[in-house]
Amino acid sequence: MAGDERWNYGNMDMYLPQNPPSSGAISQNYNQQTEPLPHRTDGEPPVTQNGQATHEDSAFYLLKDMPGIPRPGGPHHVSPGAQAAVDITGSVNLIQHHGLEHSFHKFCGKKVKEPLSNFLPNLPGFIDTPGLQDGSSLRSLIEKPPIVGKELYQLSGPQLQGFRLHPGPIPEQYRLLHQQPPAKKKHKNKKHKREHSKTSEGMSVQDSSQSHTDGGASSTASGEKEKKTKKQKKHEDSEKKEKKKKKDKKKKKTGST
Amino acid sequence: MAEKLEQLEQHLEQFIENTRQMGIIVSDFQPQGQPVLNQKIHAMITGMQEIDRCKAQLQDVQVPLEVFEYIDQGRNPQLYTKDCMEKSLAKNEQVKGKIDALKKFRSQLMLELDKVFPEEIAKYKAAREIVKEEHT
Repeated sequence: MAGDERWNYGNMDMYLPQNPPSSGAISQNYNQQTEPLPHRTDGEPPVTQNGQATHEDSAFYLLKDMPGIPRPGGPHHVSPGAQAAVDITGSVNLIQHHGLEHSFHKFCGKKVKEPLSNFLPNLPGFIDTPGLQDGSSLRSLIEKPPIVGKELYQLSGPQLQGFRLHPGPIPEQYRLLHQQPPAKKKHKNKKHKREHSKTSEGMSVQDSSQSHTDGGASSTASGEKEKKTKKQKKHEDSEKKEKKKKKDKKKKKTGST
Repeated sequence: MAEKLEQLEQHLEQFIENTRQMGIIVSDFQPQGQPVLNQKIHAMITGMQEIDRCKAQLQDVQVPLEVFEYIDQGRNPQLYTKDCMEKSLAKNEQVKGKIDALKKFRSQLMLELDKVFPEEIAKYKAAREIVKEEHT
C-alpha cells in the first residue's frame, strides 16, 4: 500500500528531535571530526582546516572543529538563523518550547477516562467492546480497503422497491445493535448525599404536611404548623415528667412516715 | 483545516444519527413507515456523498496507526496523546540529563587540562573566542 509509510507513526522515535534539514551540514561535520586529519608527507607540519599551518606538537583540539561551532566561511558554516534552529536540543523543555503546555496539562494533568464512550459520548450502541469481535475494527479497513472511487447516486423508484420491508419486529439477534448501554450512575460525595437526604426528608415532610393541608397552604405555613405541634408535644412531655416527679416525691414521703 | 474537520465531524454525526433512526424504524417495521424509510435511504446516500466530498479536502491529514489500535480496543484515543506526551517528556529529561552530564565532564576536563597544558588551553580559549566573535 502506497500510504504505509505515511501511516507509520507508531514508533516514538519519530517524534523525537531529529536532525533538522539545516543540521545536515552539522552532522556531516560531526562525521568528519572522527576522520583522521590530513598529514603532509613532505615533512611540512599539518594544516588546520582554516588553512593555518601548525607545529607538529600543536594540541589536537586545535586541528578540529568544535561540535556545534563550525568555522565561519568554512564548508560547513551555518547561517545564524539556521544556527538558532540547530541550538534547540533536549537540554530545553521541548514541550514548553513548542507551546504545548496547555495540551500537556489537558492530557496529563487530569485523569483521562479509558473507555472510548467517554471520548464519543453521543455515539449510539456499545462502542467499548473490541472492534475485532463484531468486525468493526479500523485496522480491517486498512488491511482490506473498501471499494472506492465509484460515484454515489440516489436510488431510483424501482431500485427502492428492493427496500420494501415486511411489517413486524426484527429477529432478536439484530435487536442488540440498536440497544443503548445503560446510563452511568453518578457517584456523589457522602456529604452531598447527607445534605441531599436531609433536604429530601424536609421536602417529604413538607409534602406530607402539604397533603394534610389539602394542598391549599404554602410550604412555609406548613412548616410553622409543624413547629407548633412539636412545641405542644414537648410541653406535654415536660408536664408529664413533672407530674411523675411529684408522685414519686409523695410516695417517698408516705413511705418515710 | 479545523473548519474542514468540523464539517466532516458534523456530516458523520448526521450520518450516524440518520442510521440510528433508520434502525429504529426497521426494528419494528410498520407498513405506513415505508415512505419514511425511503426518505431515510435518500438521506443516507446524500450523507455518503457529502462525506465523500470532504475526502478531497483532507488529503494531507496524517493519523498515527496506533490511534486506530486504541480505538479498536475500545480505549479512549486521548490516552495515546497522553502516552506520547509522557514518553516525550521522559525522553526530553533523559537527554537533558545526558547533556548536563557532558557539560560537567567538559568543564572538569578543561580544568584538568588547564593544569597540565596551560599554554595550549590558553590558545584554545583564544581561538574559541575568535570563532565566537566571528560567528556573532
